[in-house]
Amino acid sequence: MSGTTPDAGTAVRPEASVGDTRSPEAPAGEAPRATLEDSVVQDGRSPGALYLVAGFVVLLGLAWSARFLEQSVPEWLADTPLGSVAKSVEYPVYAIALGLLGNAVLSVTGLRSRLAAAFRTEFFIKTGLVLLGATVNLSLVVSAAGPAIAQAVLLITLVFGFTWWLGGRLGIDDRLRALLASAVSICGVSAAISAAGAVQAKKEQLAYAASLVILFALPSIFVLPALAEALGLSPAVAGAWIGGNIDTTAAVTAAGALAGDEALQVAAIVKTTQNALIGVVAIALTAWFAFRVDRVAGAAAPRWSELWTRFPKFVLGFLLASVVATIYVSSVGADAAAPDIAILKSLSTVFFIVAFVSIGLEFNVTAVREAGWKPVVVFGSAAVFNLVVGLALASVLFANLEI
Amino acid sequence: MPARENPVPPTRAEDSPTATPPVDPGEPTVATATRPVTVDAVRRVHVSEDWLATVVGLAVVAVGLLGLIPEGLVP
Repeated sequence: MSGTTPDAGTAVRPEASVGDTRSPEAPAGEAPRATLEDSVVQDGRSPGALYLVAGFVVLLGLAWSARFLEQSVPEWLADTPLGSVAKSVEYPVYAIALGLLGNAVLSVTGLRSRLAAAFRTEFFIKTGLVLLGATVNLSLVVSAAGPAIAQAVLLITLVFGFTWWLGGRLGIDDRLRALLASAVSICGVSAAISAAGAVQAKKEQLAYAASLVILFALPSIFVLPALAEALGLSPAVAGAWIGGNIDTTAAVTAAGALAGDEALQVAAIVKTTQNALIGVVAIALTAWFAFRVDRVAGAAAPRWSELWTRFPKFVLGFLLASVVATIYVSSVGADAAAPDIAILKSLSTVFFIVAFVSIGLEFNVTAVREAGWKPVVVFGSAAVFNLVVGLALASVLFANLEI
Repeated sequence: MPARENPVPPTRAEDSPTATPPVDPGEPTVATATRPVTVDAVRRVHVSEDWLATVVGLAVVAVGLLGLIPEGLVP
């Protein structure tokens, strides 16, 4: 186990390794570690208003800088050999890079975990997606819904099954492999949180699964759009592949934005469809752990109301925004509605930029280093499996989708 | 760097698989903690955040479609 942390002042007491169920004591003299630095497991703490405000100032300052660089760098480099490269660098690149830079500075100064309560990636990305819904015509949602549902069901079943099987072969704790399988097959951190509640996972396991999601999502943001272009995929297939493969919704949005507006729309639809299936998987996990893993005598069957409790509500927001905007456009006319829709699209981008900066600020490999290599192998193998199966499914199911 | 504070010790936290373990006196702890961090707490905040994002997003959509957001306001 790692014994150091860049934020020693915020460390918590060491606990059992996330990959097993033992409860080892911390070796005498070992410095405390900070497995809970990720904001995903900082919920429930009260950082203090000053730190919260300071965190938002940092976040918004970096987001503004990303926007400024995105608009200014191509102008600065216009008459240089790097001009064409600068033009092709989209806002997610600046936002994530500045977030990682801010992360490094805040970690060195010991401030990162104190400010982390303001780094609400999930909130910003979900708000941005609801706004994006207003720019997506309902006809696209309807025509993509069938393939998206089919892909989501097949991918979740296959990838979850593969991850669960491989985790079992490598002797990973049942609760951790449930978290890893949910995260890699459904929607990253959100799914891990949902699964953690369903299987009564330890918070260290949740922190670890969340860290792995971000660790794998960051390179995927850049690799998948590049691969999609190299493979000559259509925007619909590229969007479906990105939406079905990258775990966390924020990273899907970043990769979709890099692949183009049309790919982003399809990726958003595919990812929100996967998100919508969290509840079903959580119910199944609850029942499985109660009756097969823990074998609790007289355990009550999970209630169907859990489906609604765990259903990601932003999916409804995305759909409702699309319905309202489509009605608005058809009633006032496309030309008259264009300025209002353009403003909503710009606002959606602003929320995405803040979310992408937040991704960089949240990135933390401490928890990953502490869990050993087996879960990393499982997650990595599942990601590759997801990549291959996802490409095959997207190529078949979205080949004829017109955007 | 701000001074560390002693957290509120968790109540019977060791009984729960999802609770923060007990804290030894003198051991560096979460500087700003006021209650144990649990998976349930994370999930509650996650759900609230989900609703908040939905409500905020739809409110902004409504305001935008009503033409109440000036063009120059969005960076």
